[in-house]
Parts: sequence; C-alpha cells; structure tokens
Amino acid sequence: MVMRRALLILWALIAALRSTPASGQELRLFGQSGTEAGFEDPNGSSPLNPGNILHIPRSTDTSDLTLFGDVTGGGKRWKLQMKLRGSSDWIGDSSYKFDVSELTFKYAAASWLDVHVGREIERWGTGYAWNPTGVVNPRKDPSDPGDRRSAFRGVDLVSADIFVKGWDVTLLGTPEIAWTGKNGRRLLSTGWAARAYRLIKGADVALTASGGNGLPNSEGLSLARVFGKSLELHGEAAYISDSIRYLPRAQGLAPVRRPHAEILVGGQYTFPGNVNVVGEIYHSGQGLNDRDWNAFGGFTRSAQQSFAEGNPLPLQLANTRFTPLQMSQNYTFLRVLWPIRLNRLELETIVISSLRDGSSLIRPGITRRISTNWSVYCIYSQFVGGAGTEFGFVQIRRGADIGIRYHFSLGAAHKL
Amino acid sequence: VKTVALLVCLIPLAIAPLTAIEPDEGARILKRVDALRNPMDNFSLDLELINYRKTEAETWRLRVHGQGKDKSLVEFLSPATEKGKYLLMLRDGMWAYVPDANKPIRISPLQRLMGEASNGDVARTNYSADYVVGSIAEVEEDGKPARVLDLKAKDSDLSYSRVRLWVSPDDIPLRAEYYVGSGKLLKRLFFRELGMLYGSRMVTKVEIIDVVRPDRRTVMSYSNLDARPLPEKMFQPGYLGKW
Repeated sequence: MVMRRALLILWALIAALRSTPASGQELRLFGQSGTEAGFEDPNGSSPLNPGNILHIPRSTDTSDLTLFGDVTGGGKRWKLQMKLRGSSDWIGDSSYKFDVSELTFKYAAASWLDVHVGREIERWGTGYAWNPTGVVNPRKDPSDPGDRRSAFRGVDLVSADIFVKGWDVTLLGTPEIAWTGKNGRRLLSTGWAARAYRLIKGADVALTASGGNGLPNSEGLSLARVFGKSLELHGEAAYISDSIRYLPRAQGLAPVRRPHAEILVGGQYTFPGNVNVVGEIYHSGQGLNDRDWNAFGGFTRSAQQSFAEGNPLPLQLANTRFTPLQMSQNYTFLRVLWPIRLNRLELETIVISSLRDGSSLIRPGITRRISTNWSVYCIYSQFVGGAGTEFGFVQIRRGADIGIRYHFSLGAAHKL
Repeated sequence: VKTVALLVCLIPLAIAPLTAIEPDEGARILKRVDALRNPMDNFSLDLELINYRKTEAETWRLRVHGQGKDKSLVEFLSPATEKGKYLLMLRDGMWAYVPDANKPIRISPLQRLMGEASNGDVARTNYSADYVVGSIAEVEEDGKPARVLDLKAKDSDLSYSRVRLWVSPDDIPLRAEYYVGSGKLLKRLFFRELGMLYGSRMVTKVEIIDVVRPDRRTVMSYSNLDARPLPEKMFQPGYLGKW
C-alpha cells in the first residue's frame, strides 16, 4: 500500500512534468534525512505510571527522509508542490510510515488571485511556541517549535489567495477526507477558515475566522511589530466557541463543552553577539483550572486503586486524557539561542513552565554543523516538578535525543 | 604618544580638500553609483557568495528579486541546508521564511545581521534612498585622483549610520566603508569588477572584508540579470514560500 502510494505520487509528478511540454518549467528537489536515538528514563513516581506500569522503553530509534519538490510552470502561472516523508520507528519493534505531507496544485488565475487545491501546510499566527489563531496549523510541539524532523503534515484544502490594495485575504475550504481504510475516499467533515492580513504602519495585522464541523468556530487577531534594531513584539488572541474538553465528572472523564479564549503575548530580543531570546506567556481557557486539576488528580488516584484491583481501564483513560501543556491555563515559554560559532555550533535552551505550580520542562540542546550538508545534535530534556504538579505527572522523568541529519539538494533548479 | 599618533592619522584628512557641497552634486554622484550597482527597477539576478574564513571557503547561491527602491526578496538556492529559505526586505520590515517552519517569521534588523544576509545588506545598500551626502573630498586612490563622499543615514533604523564611499572622477564606485552608530567601522567593501548584464553596465563583483574579524571576507558575484516585471504579490509577506 505504502509503495503503491509512493509510486502514485511520483507518477503524478512525472505526469505533471510531461503534460505541458512548454519551455520555462522549473523543477526543484531538496530535502533532509536523519536518524535519532532516544533515551528515556521512565518516571516511576508519576501517578500515571507508577512503577513504570506503562513499560516505557528506555531507548528508541527513529529515522526519516523528507523530500521537498516543486515544479513551476513557465511564467509562474502554475506550480505543483509536494512534501513527501517516510519514517521508520523502532520502539521494541519496527514500524514504517510513508506520508504525503503536502501535495498542492497552485494556479495564478490573475495577478491578484491564486487558487490552491490539494494538501498544504498552512501556518497562521505570530507566536513562537503557541498559535491561538492557527486553526488550520499542524499541531505544534512547543518544545520543538522548529520541527527538527520535518514531521508537520498539511490539511486537505481548496483555497483562494486574494491580493488587493495591500491586503492578503486567504479563504480556505477544508474537506476532511478518509483516503484509506475500508470506507476510503469518504468525506468525514468540512470546515472553512478565512484570514485577512495587512501590514499597517510596520505592524503585521491579521484577522482570522473559522467554522464548519471540521474546524473550530473561532475569531482571532494576530499582531507583530519590530521596534528598533533588536526587539520584536507579537501577540495573538482567539475566541473558540465550540471546543470540547474531557473533564473529571461523577461518571468519570466526560466531554464538556468549553467555549474559551486563548491569548498569547511575546517578544524576542537579539543581543550583540547574536544571542537571541524569545519569551512568551500563553493563556488558554481550555486548560484545566485548579478545581479541574484537583479533580483529575482524584480521578487518577482512584484509577490507581482500580489498577491495583485488576482493572487497568481507568488508568489507561487517565493516561489518554493527560496532555502535557494543556493541563493548566497559563504557561510561559523561554528560548535562548546562542550561536557559539555562527552557522557552525549553536546552543539552544528551551524552558516551558506551568504558572499554576511552577513545574517545568528544561530542554538544552547543542547542534554542530559538521559540513555544508551534515549536522549532529544532542538534546536533553528534564521534567522538573514535585508530586501533584503537571510536569510531575509526565510519564518520563528525563530523556536525551542524539541525532544526525543530512540535507541534500538534487542538483540546481532544472529548467525543463 | 597616542595624541600625536592620532594627529598624524588626521593629517591626510586635514589636507584633503573638502569641496563645498553643491546641492545636487552629491545626489547626482549617488544616483550614478546606484545605477551601476542596480540599474533596473524590476529585476532578478543570481548572486554567488563565497565566504572565506581563515583557510575555509563556503559557497552560497542566491536568487535576488527586486522591485523599486525598497523591495527585495532573496531566495536561497544552496547550500542544501539553506535551500528553500527566503528573506523578504521591505521598507516597513523584514521576514524570513524556512520550509520546515512553513510561515513567514518577522525578524529584527539585528537578527538579519546574524547570517550571510549581513553581507547582502551591505551589497544592496541604496545610497540615494537611504543616505545624504555630508561632504565630498578630493583624494588619491592607488595614485589616481578620486573623491570620497561622506554619507549619513537618513533613518536611524538603518544598520549602518555612516558610509564613506570612494568614487573615480567618472563616478565609478571604487570602495566603501560602513560604520555603525557608535562610530565603529564594521565592513570594508571593494567594487572589483564592472561588466555588462542584460545590456546594462553594472558592478558584477564585490569583495567585503569584515573589519572586526579580518580573517573573514566575502566575494559576491552577480550574473543572469533578468529585467522582467515582477508581480506585486511576490513582495507580500503572506506570499513567501507559496511560489
């Protein structure tokens, strides 16, 4: 199945290349491949993983290959863009995955109008670690905002980009389609999203809205502006009216309708010596308040008791519903990037803290570029927090990832 | 001793005849210099940067698109680690686009100076638009008559508050020095070659020397100039990476 899909994509690409024999077409292919070894220390004192009952493996291996490619038609009237990704994971056993992360056909219908059809990664918002207005964004891991393994995947969409009088208006329709499985090629849901962007007096200003049964019903605003030579400030706010959250109730964890606001303010400052610091504060009304968190703790304790009595289901459910960085309402994010040798050796440290209990994730990492194509890195993660705190609940205590990456370019852009 | 040394250093400046600035003379020279460096309003060209660092040399290839006096888009072609990246520079701000991040990121001028773009910055300086001529002095350059123009930044947000620009009597740029607000000299630029691109005479090779780290120099070569009109949307931050 995987091979068949890969061949289909390649066939589509070649067909597109051959379909318009006109001169002036251009093909670009580039990408990256890497392998990463992970070492984890299970947190046996976590209420969700007492004595490592989850059997978290101490080591894992992952490898991936991502290929970015595009074919642009003469005069840039059309473009076929793709991102293909294959990965293999070894966690006690091997598994392989091939994914079409992006495959979009773009057509410039007029100087002011572009139309896109296919799967595409959209990234809205100005935040570094969180994007309240990013209703169509791939799920971001705040501890890896740069997506070092290039794992982001796009959404299926039909979109129009309209450029009029300094405005950039994007209108999206997002049909969620089941491409595989017994009932493959079935429409599961539909959603829509819109964004109007404009540069106003040096500030990036964007208004967003979304709805339908496939996307949250939301309205949002995002801003960013640079002050002087070193300071950038940004902010985002969104109101989401139809979100649902599983919360501890008398009958266990039950879905509860939770209209809420999400707000992010942040900035970054570049110091002499190229040291760059990003700081953000994030509030999400969807997170658990003190009462909810205490109730979740109570549910976990009773789940432990059920586990001891031979019923593992409640503890499994508690593990499923425990989502780090969504168990509190207020967080801070700090990232310090120190390029010890520009483009050669850099040290990055990320600290994410829950403002409710002060528990934190501390993640220092070092990257060494050993040639124009090769780089190696080592990232250490330490969860800090006492019993009953959010990061004290995390099922691992600490971890380290050691990886090597190779960036490649399949020749210069080819004129076809 | 230091004072004497300073006075000795200042002698050439003192004896260099300072011409009275005729209102249009400085502006006229800057326009001619700019025309030799960037003769088109709408253009795309290939730029090869070779960074020399002690004994190492690293080559970067970029495609630069420009529109008007204050819009430029840099497309990174190589090395492989940089491929697919873009840098958009408008009068109102700067944005970087990285394929993995998949969105334009607002950046500050100092962040821009972190990478090789700092050299691009020096090379793309639009003297007429960004600077005013403070003084013009007659000097000798390699035994030949030349003029040195002292330029002051119009906008305090510019990376370099002062530039000293040497030109030949027929207004061909010879070299320049770039100073930051503190008065510190950061970069020296030498205009190495003039050539014909797309039927226009223009500077085709420059060399930039990092004064702070003298073991570092960059040679930039221009080629494949194309003067087709570029769509306005190409210089919109939201458009970055979409084409």
